[in-house]
Amino acid sequence: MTLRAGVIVFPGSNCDRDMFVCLEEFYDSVNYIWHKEEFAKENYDLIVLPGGFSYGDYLRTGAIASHSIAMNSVREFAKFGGKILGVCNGFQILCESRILSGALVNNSVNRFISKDVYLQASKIDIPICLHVAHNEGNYTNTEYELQKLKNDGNIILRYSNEVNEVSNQTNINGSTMNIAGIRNKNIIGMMPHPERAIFDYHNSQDGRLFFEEYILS
Amino acid sequence: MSKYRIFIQRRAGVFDPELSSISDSIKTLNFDGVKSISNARIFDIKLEERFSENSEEYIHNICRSLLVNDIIEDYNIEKIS
Repeated sequence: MTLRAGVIVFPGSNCDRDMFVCLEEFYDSVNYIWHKEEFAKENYDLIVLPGGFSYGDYLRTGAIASHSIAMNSVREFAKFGGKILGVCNGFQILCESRILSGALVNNSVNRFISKDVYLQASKIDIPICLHVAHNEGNYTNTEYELQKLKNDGNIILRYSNEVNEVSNQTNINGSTMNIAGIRNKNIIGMMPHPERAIFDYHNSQDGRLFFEEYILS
Repeated sequence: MSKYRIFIQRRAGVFDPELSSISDSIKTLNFDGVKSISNARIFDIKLEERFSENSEEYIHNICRSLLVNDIIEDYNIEKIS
């Protein structure tokens, strides 16, 4: 079977190429989808919303991108049961589109964070090390939805330390319950960048582990 | 013609680091009488002549569709003219 992935490009996306190169490691064909284009849901096994600053982050991060034409197809693809991954700004867009629940607001430290972090991953026994680079990564949601995410096992990544402990000290951006990534069935949203932990020249190759456990399995 | 003013505020309980920094700065300037501070984003929307009675609902729709994220924000509207 041929595996096909698509990367949506919004005006202001800047991790689209990194994601493209990363996906070529796992998928037989990868192509870009311009935000003004619709796509046929049958043509893809995975759709990725990459990081960046879509529409200059105007209004709220991801708010304007969530209304772009390609997002109509993303909603269709989601209903169809297709796999969707939103990374960083992609996660923000999925939340603004209400495809995933919650919102991402300014980091509690009130500055842009760019560094490698450890993450406790629900399906992996050891902490994984991925890079984060964001100003609005502070995940928030209603009490009801948070409880639902927790009960359903849909919190997949939490900011932790090198021995996989999750605490206030390891919470880099003020996210509720240290949330770094969530899922809803086949749809995953996460602030860390797995595409930046793939190759030998990266600090970590744990992105491969992430893709194997959460995207390809 | 209808003109509306929309006020959008962070919901109570949603931490606003920007506002927290501003508040700290006011204290640093020795204005020690400030109990709390809040801010809002304001949009003024002027509607075309064809709107009359249902114009308020139209503004609410704009807010719910784009301007406001109800998970983190509250809003209210005011008819200006």
